This record gives sequence, structure tokens and C-alpha cells, in this order.
Amino acid sequence: MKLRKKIKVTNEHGLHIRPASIFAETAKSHRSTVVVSKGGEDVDGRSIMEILSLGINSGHEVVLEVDGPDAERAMSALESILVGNL
Amino acid sequence: MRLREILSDEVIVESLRASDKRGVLKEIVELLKAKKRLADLSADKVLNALIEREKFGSTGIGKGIAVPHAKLDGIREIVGAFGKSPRGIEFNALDGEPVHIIFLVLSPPDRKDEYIKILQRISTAARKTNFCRFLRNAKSIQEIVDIFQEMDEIVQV
Repeated sequence: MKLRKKIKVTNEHGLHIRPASIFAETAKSHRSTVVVSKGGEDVDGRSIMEILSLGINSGHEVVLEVDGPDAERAMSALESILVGNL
Repeated sequence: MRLREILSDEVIVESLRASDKRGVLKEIVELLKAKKRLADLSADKVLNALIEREKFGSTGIGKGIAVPHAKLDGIREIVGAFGKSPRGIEFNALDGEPVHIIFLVLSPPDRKDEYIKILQRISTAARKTNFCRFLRNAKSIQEIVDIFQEMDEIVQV
């Protein structure tokens, strides 16, 4: 199953190292592929280095695309991190 | 924020002497103190803040790079420093590899946006170019500075 969602980042500190690391580890713990897009750039959501390269701050909008057998669970878990529910 | 805005020649250590995480952070903080970059803060206070941040999770982001960071009252502007460890430091990095390249960043509590910009610039450079390899092979402060300048020109964030 492929899911795609535009999400406004409301994690008040933005995606600096710690939330980006949690995001990447959460993505890796699921079987689905995860792509994060911002400003026309797509990165692998399982790579902290790639996530950090997007410079995601609070208030930014990203598109999350999740594709795989556990896409719903993955999308829900990853969205939680972006909106600040760590 | 460009790397050269916060990394002048005098806050670059081409070859760190310490062999452990606390030691290299101490070495870099003491350099910043000596170069009067810490305002009225003591080196110990800054070092403790960095160590406390590391307890939340390593700032070793992979590819041999660490970006230790602390937000501190008393710091008036973004303060940066750079250190290179030829032997590699066990930093509990996210990819399990030793750290050779350390970008240390101190910021006032209300300037978190700049830290994310700096992370963005460093990680973009690390992803897209031979940034890491060039830095590790650099033999002098001037070579390191040249690499920063080139990255600032190439990497658009």
C-alpha cells in the first residue's frame, strides 16, 4: 500500500539531530519505504544524514510518502514525530 | 549560515590530541575560551552543557562526523569551532563508526533556527560531495579553510 501525506511540522524544535534520529530509526523499524520531500527535494527517510540535509524546521511543510505492507502504521508513527509527539 | 561565518582559522584544530569524546570536547572548548569566544562563561560550564546534550543521544551523525551542540545563556551569538581527529574517536555515533570530524556549535537559547541551518549545510555537503574525505585528508588549517570556502560556494541551503 502506498500512502502520501502533506504534513506541517509542529515539533517545536524542528528536526535537529535527536528528532531526526528518532524519525530515521522509526522509519527503519518498519518494512515500508519512506521518502520525505521538501522544496522539491526527496530524501530517504531512513537516513538521518539525508533528513538533516532538508533543514526541516518547525512550521515547514513536508510530504511523506510511505510504501509497503505496514504503510499505515509507519505513516502514523512518523507523522507523530513531525508534529511533536515524541 | 555559511561555515566560514562561524569557523575562522583560529578556532580550527587540524589534529586533536585527545583520544576520547570528553577529551576532544574539552580540547575544543578550551581553545574557544583561549580565543575569547565564550564571553563570561567558564570552559567547564560549556563542557558540561555539551556532555549533558550527548547524554540525550550522540551527535555523531554518521560518515565520521559529529556536531556537538549546546544552547547556553550568556552566549550572545552563534559560536563555532572545528576539530579533526586522525585516529578517530569513539563517539557512539549513529552508524557505529568512529568520528574524525567535529563541528562544535554553541548558540543562545533563542537561535535554534541557525543550528538547523548549520546541520543542513554540513549534512548536505557530506551527502553530495567528497567533503568528508577531503577534510580527513587535509594537512593544514589553510586546506581545511579552503574546503569550507568551497563547500559554502557549492552547497546551497
